[in-house]
Amino acid sequence: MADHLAAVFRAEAGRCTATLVRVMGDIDLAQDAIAEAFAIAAERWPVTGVPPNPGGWITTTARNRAIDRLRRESSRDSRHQAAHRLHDPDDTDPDPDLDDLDDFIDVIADDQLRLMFLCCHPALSPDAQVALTLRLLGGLETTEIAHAFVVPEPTIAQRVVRAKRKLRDNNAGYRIPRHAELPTGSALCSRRSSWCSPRATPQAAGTNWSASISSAKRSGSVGFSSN
Amino acid sequence: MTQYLMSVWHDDDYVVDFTSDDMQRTVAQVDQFNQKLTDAGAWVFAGGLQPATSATVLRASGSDVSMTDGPFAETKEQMGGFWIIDVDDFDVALAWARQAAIACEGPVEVRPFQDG
Repeated sequence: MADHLAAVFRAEAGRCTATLVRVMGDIDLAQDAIAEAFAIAAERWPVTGVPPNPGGWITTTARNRAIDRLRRESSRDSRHQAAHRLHDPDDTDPDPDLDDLDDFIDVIADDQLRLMFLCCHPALSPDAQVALTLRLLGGLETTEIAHAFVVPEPTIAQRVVRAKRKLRDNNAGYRIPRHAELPTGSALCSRRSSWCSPRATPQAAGTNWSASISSAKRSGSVGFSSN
Repeated sequence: MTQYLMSVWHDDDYVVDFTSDDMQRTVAQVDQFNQKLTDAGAWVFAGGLQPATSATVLRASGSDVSMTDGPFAETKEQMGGFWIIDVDDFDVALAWARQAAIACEGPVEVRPFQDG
């Protein structure tokens, strides 16, 4: 079961995080909630069996834990802020009439793309962009990222913490940039090709991302520890 | 809405000579930029500073306050002026900062204010 859960984590954590960042409007809240949901899964699924839609179960559970936590811990102001983000209509939301969270959860590719653009924000250094993307979308632990880049684990951990803080302190928005905001083709390719499948394009990156990460891991070409 | 400080930086030997062509050009560009900021409702406050040599620093130790002639930072780079803007988010602030850097032909630093 532990191996199976680890496999589910690798496959689903990035997608669940991306959706929850959109729903909660806060990266740290989303990450903590996802971690809590996986901890609950580790206790429950050996008894109940793995649910048919493990990613959806994780995201729903994480959202509920995050809302509970907001209610318990937040001041009135930050609750209002969080509620505002939750109910703010998203201009790329394909169906604004959706009430059922399960239907929100199925809008996955857009969320991953949005999270990718957030992690790769041009105001972050390339090192920070890579560490944040691998952590949040790749579902990798800081030790794994550190091993791949042959730097100490605390260095990667600090990079991730600082990057998240910079995005939060600057009130970085969570959306897919308009075409005019994207870097020009050559700048985009030179940044991406050093650490990502060269075939990934901005449009395809959301769905290709976990595929390129897992194929890199299988082939050992990026230096990840084999699992 | 979030407030950001956009500050312009110069080398210490930067000379403020309002009669030079370069200066006249950047002043005109910054005036245009300020108008756009105001029209968009993003402008909170802005101004150009006198050179760093005009600065004075006060330091308190309890209720004892001492005064030193000159700027705080003993570096080559000094702040030439700044804008305070109030906009929706980081990307909006960066878009304004891009225009500011072009208008004043110098590096512009963007920093968010702490939540009030």
